[in-house]
Amino acid sequence: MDIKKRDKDDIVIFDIEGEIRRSDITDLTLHQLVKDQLEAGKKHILLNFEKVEFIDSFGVGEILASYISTHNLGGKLKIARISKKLYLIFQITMLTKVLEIFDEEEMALQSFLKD
Amino acid sequence: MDRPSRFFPRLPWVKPGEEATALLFFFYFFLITAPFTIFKSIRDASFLNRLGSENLPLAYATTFFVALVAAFMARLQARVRRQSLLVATLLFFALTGTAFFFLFPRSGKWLVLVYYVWANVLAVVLMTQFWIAVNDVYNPREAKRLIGFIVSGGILGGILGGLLTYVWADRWSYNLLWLGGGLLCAAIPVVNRVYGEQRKRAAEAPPGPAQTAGRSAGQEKAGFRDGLQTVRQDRYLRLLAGIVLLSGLIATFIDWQSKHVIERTVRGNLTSFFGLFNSGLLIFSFLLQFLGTSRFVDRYGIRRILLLYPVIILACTLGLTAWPVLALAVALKGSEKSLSYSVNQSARELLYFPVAPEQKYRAKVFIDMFLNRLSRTLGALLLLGALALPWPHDLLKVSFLSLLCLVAWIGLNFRAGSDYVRLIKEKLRGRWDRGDRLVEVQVDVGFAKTVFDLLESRRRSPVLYALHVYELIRQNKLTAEVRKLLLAEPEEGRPSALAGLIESESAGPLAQVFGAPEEEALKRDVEEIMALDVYQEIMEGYLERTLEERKATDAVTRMEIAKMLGLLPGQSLLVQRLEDLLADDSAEVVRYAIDSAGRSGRREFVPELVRRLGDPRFRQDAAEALERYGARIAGTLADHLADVHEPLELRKNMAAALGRVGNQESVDFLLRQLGRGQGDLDDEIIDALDRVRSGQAKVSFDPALVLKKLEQEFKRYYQVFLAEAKEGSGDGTVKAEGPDRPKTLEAVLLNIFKLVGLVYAHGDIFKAYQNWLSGTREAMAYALELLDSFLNTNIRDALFPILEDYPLRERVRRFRSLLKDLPEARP
Repeated sequence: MDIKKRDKDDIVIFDIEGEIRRSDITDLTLHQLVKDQLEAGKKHILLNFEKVEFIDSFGVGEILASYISTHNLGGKLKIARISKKLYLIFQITMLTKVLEIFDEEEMALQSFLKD
Repeated sequence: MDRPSRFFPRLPWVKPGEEATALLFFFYFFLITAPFTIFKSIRDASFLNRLGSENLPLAYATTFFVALVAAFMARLQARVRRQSLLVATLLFFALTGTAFFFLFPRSGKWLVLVYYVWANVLAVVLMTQFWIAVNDVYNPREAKRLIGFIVSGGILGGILGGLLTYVWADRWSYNLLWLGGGLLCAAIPVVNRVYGEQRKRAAEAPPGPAQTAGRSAGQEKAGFRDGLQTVRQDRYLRLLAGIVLLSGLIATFIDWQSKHVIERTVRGNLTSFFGLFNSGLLIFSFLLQFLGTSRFVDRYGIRRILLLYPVIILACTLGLTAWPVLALAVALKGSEKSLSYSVNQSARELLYFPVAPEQKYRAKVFIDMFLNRLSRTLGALLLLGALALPWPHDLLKVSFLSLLCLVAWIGLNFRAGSDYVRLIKEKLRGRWDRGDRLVEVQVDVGFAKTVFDLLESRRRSPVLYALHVYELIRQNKLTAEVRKLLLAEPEEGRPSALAGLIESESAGPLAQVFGAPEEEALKRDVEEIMALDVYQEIMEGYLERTLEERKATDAVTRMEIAKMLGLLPGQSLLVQRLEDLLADDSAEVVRYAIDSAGRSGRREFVPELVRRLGDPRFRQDAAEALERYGARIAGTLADHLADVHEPLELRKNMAAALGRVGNQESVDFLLRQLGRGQGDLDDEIIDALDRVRSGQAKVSFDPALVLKKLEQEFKRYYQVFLAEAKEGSGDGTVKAEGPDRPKTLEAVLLNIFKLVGLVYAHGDIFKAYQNWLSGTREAMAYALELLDSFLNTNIRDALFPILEDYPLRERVRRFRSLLKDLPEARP
């Protein structure tokens, strides 16, 4: 898994590429990267899932942990460009109840402004 | 710097930008109370001289006419632009006041009754209009801060008016009416300037719920009927109306009691006496107001201040009843008036601030203009009734009436204080909940993870896949959506949302199982098989072979074993094999083993689960597994937390795990560690405690330990702030710099609120925090008002300098002062 960070206004965007699985993880997990940004004072985090091929339950845990850390500081974490396949699973598992998921990055960015 | 600003640095409650408006209101109030004191002294003296105290109830009864005038003014207020109405009213009273100068020498003794009514109308109308103007401009926090300064202007005006009357009454007599009229005219340009400043302020500020000046009458209905309707429909406003009614009755009784004694004991010019009395009274009120009221209200809060006035009056009334001497008459009347002008007036006006703006105008018109006067009329009727009773000692009869009303008044004030806090709370809405609570309530995380694992296992192993399906069946979580997911077949030539999901053929046999009766049967069958001794024996052999030949078997096989072991009854000997699998080389095998260990609930796995908390790959899984153990392992977790030889990251996760356990024992462990620790775990421990607090109501937090840590966090905040603020060089300006400042301070402030939330109502504390953080003026004002209503003095004094919008220099000064009193903070 490869994670690249970029900034747009005061929104931090993580472009995630590859598979989010526990066997591929090093010290810097997604959650840790999100926490680093929160500690730097950033409150708006967007995860770009366009190039995510696979998530296992570890990946789900990382996403939820990132969400919780962001939310507890009054911030917002959102997801964009998730595959239809993954979105369906998120729906079935009711993860869409807490995670805001957008088809396009631009829509997600706009939603931060509306918030 | 503006000229007025030079006077204000010494007055910490006037902030930069507020000087002009504060000063204008100061003078506005000054210029209406000075003439009123003159008119009032003439009113009382001329009435006692020409008609005597026995006719005073008639004078009180005329307040009914005042109430009619008040009703008329209310209608006018609904139709006319506020600024224009204020100016016209001032002009009207200036002219009519001077008209009396010509009428008095030529008329009979009953003109004094007409003059009495006129003076009372002036008081009601001008005062009510003044307070409406104050409401137009300021929000609750501003008003609370500035009210002492503004009201002191009125008191100074009264002092001047009284002194001038005292000095010139003998020589000038009714010529003083000219002076009064002139002072009213001088207030006109001040009023115009007030609304000019308000328009300027409104133009600069973003739109909000704050009132705007000079609103046209068509935009708001504030007539008498609307006022009555508004008050009738709202319990809080009815309470305020009751308070005003009772205070009016009591004021009437006190006025009669004191004048009854004054008439019998004072020899010489009564106008002069009243001039001196009013002046002396106001000097005392001024000192009280200027030096004490804002601090009083700030320090003791509105609830205690509301009780102060009636309790003092009660004591003085009892005194005068027992000893009807001039000194006590002056003390009673003096207490009533001085506290009424200062502390009580401030508290009463503050009571209106949580009321919605449109309701406030209508209610104030009704209560202050009409009801206030009606209470005097009622008081007069009660007085007449009491005096008509065939008992001796008029003073005793009236005192008894007064005492009854005082007791009722104390009760209402007490109630109003509680309702004030309730209304403030209603103004604030919680903006977000803890994320972990939110996820806990809305998402079944275990189910979500199982579905992901299920789908992944379809690619890897039919056995693993079947085990996952069985697990969902066992938990009754094989939902219709999941079944659909598993049973759907790809359509040829057409892409489907589910097409990519079907990657193995293992859906086939399972399809026959899906359906409630079939699933129940499957559950039963599997449980029975797994419980068989022979099954255990066979599986024991299989596990022995497989795990010994670990290098020869693939990870998927071991994953299957790890998963299966979690589905066995916890007391099965086979479950012990998880110990091997927890130490496996494959991360995926370990993950399944962790999950199964948690399900087994067996203590021998706890050390390995704890160890895995330190590994980011397994942290979440290990935490969830440990959570399944519940309160049983709180002691074990606490031991790891306290062990300084354990890795820091592990110990941090121990704190989080204890927070998830969330019982009294784990809270006690966490607090103890918080108290004795070096500070490196503070953030995690405080967060864990906050998590417990936000979820459970039945756990208690030792206040002594919490407050001790709170002191340290305050000190830490002040030190970080001061370290990053740099002094200017000579001109006294202070700059705050440092890229890390917002992050660190925000984190410390959040800790402070979490700690405060452990000993106060958590919901209220976080509502206040979140609204303060929102940054809007109104939300911050209400947030501070809410905190002010229940925090103890020490915490408030430590917290408010952080939250209040002080200039940097002032903040630095306060932090330095506070640092001296606090214990050493952690580095």
